[in-house]
Amino acid sequence: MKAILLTAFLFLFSIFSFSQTVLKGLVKDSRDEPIFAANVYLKSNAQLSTSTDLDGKFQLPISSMNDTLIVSFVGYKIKKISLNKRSLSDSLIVVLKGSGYSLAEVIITARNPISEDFSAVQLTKLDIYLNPTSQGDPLKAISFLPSSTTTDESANPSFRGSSIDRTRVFLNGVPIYQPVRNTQINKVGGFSIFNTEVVGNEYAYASNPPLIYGNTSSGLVDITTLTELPHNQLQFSATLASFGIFLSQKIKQNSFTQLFSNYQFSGPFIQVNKPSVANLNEFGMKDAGLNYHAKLSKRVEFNSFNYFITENYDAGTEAYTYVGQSTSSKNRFFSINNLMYYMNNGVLSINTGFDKAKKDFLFGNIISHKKILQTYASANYKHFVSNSMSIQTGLTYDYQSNIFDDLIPLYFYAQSPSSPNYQQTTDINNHNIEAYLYSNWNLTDQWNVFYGLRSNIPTNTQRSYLSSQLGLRYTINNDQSLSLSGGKYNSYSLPDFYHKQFNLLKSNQIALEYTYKHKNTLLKAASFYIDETGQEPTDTPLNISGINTFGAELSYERYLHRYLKITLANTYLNQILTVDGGTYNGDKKFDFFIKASLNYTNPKLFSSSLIYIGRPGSYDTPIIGSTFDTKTSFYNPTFSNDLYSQQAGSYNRFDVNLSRHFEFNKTAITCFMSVNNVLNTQNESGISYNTNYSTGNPYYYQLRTWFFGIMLGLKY
Amino acid sequence: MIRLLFIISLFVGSCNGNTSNTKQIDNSQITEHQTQSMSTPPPIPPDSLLLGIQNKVYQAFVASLLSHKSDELDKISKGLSDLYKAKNQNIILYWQGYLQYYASIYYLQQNNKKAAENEADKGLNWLKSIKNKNSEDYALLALLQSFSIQFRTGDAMLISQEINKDIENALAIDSSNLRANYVFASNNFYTPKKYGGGKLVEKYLLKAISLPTQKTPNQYLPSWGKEESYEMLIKYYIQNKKWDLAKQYYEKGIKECPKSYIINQLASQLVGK
Repeated sequence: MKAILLTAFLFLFSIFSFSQTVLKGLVKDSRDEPIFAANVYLKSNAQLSTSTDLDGKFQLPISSMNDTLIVSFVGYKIKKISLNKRSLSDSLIVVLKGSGYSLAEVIITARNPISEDFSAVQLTKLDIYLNPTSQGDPLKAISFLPSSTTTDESANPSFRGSSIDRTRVFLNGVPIYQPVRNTQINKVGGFSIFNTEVVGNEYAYASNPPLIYGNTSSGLVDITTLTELPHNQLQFSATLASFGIFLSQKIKQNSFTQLFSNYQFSGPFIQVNKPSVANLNEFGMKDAGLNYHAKLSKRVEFNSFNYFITENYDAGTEAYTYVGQSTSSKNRFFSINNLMYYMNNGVLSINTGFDKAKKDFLFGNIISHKKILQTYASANYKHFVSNSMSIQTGLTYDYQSNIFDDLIPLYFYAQSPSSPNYQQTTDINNHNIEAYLYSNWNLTDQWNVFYGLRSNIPTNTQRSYLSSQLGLRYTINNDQSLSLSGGKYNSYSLPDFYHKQFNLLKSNQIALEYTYKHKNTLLKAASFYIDETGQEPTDTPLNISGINTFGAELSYERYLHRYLKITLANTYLNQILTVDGGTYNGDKKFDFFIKASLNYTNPKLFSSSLIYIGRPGSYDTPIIGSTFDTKTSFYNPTFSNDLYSQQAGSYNRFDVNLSRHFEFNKTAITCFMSVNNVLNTQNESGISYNTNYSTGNPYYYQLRTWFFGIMLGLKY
Repeated sequence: MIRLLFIISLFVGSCNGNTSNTKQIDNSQITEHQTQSMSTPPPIPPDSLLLGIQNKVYQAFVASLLSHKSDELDKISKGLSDLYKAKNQNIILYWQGYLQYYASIYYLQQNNKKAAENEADKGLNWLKSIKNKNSEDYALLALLQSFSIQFRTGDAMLISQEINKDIENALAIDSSNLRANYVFASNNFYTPKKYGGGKLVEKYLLKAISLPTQKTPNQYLPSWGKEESYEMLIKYYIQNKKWDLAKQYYEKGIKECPKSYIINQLASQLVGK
């Protein structure tokens, strides 16, 4: 009996004493940091809960050992711990692991490039339309960046003094070579081939292009198409030089298609601008595009962009002493297809591209027929290692084939139709296989580092190379950041009429960039040094084997008023060329390169912008004499040994844009007008000479031209 | 008069977060219980300021409105700043951002737009500085950004894109976060129709009111949004002349948040409809 009583007493005592027990513990994360405000409760009674304090500690009264402790907090996986006597003896330590990314978060994060933190600028469709200089063109929108050093009024981008041949444009991860319309023999083209309505995001890298992409040794422009369609819309446009139609249509809940077509004609434009475009006889273009985006399942997305263009151009052209008509025509079709598979902590993507073009060019004794075929495929995997680190790797295959069937002047200075020429047929191709690794890591709240490696797998006679890069960004505070990045890069030149080969081009780059952004003010400063080697493709007989460019940029943007914005930018470029062992000033040696704009954007009234671009003239090599060539009856020019010592007159251009937008229920009308080079300034583009080169007459970039149009949009 | 009614209503209290009969134990209560027999006074835990912080901010806001002095809000702001210096916890930044939102509203009520802008900017800076933001952080950031558009000149459309991105992130991380759904709906509610506004208001507000204010009761964490969701949903139905639905959700809202001024004030618009 005593034993029973004793047992009962001990049992009751134990229950009594247990009911007084408080479970103590500490909750921390995998980095050993305490987690504050984590929820702590028992499975048997979730209503009675406690939270951790600022040191991650908690105390929870428990009445039974046969229970499970549950610890949870936003952003972490729930932890369940079966209680036992040991739980009471020591302070319990609970480590919560991050819950990782949700699938939706992976999809949103993965759509942005891994390198986006280091891009010079990020633009959306709206940014492009609001950009005063873009004229609605995605590539012209970046031409106003201080780092843009395009001097030929082309939409083809070039950054920080580099040639357009070193800069690449990617659409949905696939390189688009020659991304401009109406390209002439020197690759100049007025507008890009991209329709802004399909653009989702556009990233520009002025230097140190991320090595997730290859074949660039200068800057890079990365354009992605829309992933969501905000609404169905039918648009019509009519301008002085074109008609267009654009249809955006949702198909299912997560799929949509965009169809568009444009017809361009030159008659009215030439009539209105006759004095300024005296050399222009005709231009025309017809294009059609289809963009299709589908979410095939919860984890799979597919996008297909297909584009066809046929264009022609007929204008007066100068070459040394010969002035005549040049005509060009081009047909092109390309298709870019992307398949994305989203996983819990990463995304696998397959990108393919097919690009086929045929181009004919006639001028004097030049007759050029060119066929281009490009195919591209890449497999890429991006992995989110943690909230602060991501890594991407992949393999790319880029094939290009160029077939030239040309009649070429026997003497470069004799290009009249009756001058001697010779037949040359060239069939060249390049198989470029590369593998890459890129990682972005937020070391701390303030320090961010990236690195990239990209190596080719040589084919045929290719040399092996390794591109590498490293960058650091320091976030000083919410308003300011500083970044330092550098690397070694490799690319191949694009063959053209003058250079029918794929030359390997190399560059070493280093850039220091500062950004200040506060409320309505944006200030950017950069300093950089670029060392470029490899045979530069130029349209002169010079053999440029190296270019060293040092530069500094400063830009300022501020809203002076709700609708009034001012932008100011200046760039200093010091460029030295190496030609046949000697060093000379580069053609883009500019003490200043000013870009300024004043923009008034009032949705209820109108939008207008005044734009100014000014810089010293470009440099060229002077012709100091000539000798008569009896074989051709042309004078053979004698170039000065002091290369690039003749400077053209300074370049100054003011543009004015004006637009008015009306909305009536679901109908929108936009009227716009622009006057380019409103002061009709004669900006020298080059020099044409008399027969013996004793006098030269400059010819000019675009003189004053008027352009206007109307767009009608119907939402449904 | 309306403002006075509004201020009085704030005292009365409204929909108070958790609707379930739950009880959360405060660590300080345990500490107090354990030390009650001791002769020295119990230490004040450093997290005591954060206990019920949402309500504390609200009460400080009301007190500031009545006194026309920001002292009460300033006091909590200083407490939070000091606490953050001692303990670098993201949740403190969250509440600093939340407090700045109310401080900004206070200064707007005082017709001091410049100070209101400064307070909102401070809040945005706190919230933007949070690394590895969770769904709650993104939701509050989007709310404050949306509120701050009134102080911005120029590129409102571009700011709107930033807001959309933050809301998208908030929902991607946790689609069942009441506040993320509310902020999405709110942003869509105030977006002009020509830019796609109004289309998704109903869907997201209906979802918001169906969600718990907190998944597990926690007095350190946010619980706002339910009352605001009801108010906006009823307003939306009134705007679209869907009187039956407006009445239906008015009754439901009042049942769930019986002392809510912002829901109650809509009654006059429903009379006779």
